[in-house]
Amino acid sequence: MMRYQAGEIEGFERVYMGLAPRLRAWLARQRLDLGADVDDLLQETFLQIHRSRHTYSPERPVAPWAYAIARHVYLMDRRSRTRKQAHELHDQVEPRDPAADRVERAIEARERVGRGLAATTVRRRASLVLHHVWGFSFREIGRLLRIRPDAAKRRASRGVHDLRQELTEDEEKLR
Amino acid sequence: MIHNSPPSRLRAAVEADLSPVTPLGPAWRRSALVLPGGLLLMAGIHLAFGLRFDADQIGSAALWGLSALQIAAGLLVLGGALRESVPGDSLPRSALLAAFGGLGLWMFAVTWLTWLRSPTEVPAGSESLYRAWCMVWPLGLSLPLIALGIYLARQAFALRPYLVGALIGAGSGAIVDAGWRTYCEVSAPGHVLEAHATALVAATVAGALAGALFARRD
Repeated sequence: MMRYQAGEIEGFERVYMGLAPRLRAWLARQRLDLGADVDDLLQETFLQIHRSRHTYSPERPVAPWAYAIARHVYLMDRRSRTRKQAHELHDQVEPRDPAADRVERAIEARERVGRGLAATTVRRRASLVLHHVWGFSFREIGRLLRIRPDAAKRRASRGVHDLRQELTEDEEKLR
Repeated sequence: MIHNSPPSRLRAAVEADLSPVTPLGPAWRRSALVLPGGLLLMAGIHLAFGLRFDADQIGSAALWGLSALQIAAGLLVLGGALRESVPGDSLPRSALLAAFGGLGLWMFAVTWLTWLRSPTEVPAGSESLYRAWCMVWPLGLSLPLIALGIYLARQAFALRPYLVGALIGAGSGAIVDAGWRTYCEVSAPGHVLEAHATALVAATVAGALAGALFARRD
């Protein structure tokens, strides 16, 4: 370690050879749960050891000093992973319920049809709803509204035309 | 055996940045660098504010002796902070408890002893003024020492920078309070614990914040 502190690359190599197997084993034990790349952590540990090599005191054993740095690297990595996972979970879109989708689409369609019906006249709307929604024949509608069956048919047809036009415009607005 | 020699990229990165370094000195020697600053502050307090009027009644041993011991205690805590800033030299929990708890007990004991020798109260109606004066000044005077301590800690590699900062803050606060008690003539425990001790706690918090922000270069 003293040769390493003196600026000799052989000193670093000797430190690496002496510490790497033990630190690697220690990091591997810590990483069992998260399965991170132990070699990356080991490399980061040695880079941190390099950056703080001046903090090593030659009269002290090197292992506790190196383990403290390895532990710090491990904890920093774990913290950043945990944060990343939390962000990912937060960003992840929740799986949609198909039934809820159907209900949502039905509500939306109902609202759009409602808007389309409101765009046509009351007379056309009455014939249209009585025939297409309630299932009355045009003869029956004529009797109910005291109009001729062909007038009821014409009003319903024009109502459908108005409704279609309104829905088309609505569709274009949505696009 | 493949892991027994450094990977080429790591070796290249280390080699590119390799230069001789001087190992850090022991923590006690580095913390001694704060002593001149502390003594300077003490002298400054005397020059600016003077000596408490009941200094003779308290006696040299209880006034100067206890202050000197308090400065030593503050330096000890600062030394602990600088030791904590070196990887593998972390202070055990018992030492941390002794540092923070010890300073609190010390303050309590010194206050009690001073009160026994010269019981003086805050003049009626001036409580808030005395309280603010004895909180703001010691805290303000602690800041240069905290800055110096953080600078010294920054030369190492603090793995728990907030803790290093808190210890530096507590040590600095104790050193400044040792000087402040030779000026503030009020020995009433209520005032000392309310104002002086709050300043010490505030210095500890300020140190912890400064430590978290500046005690590590990464």
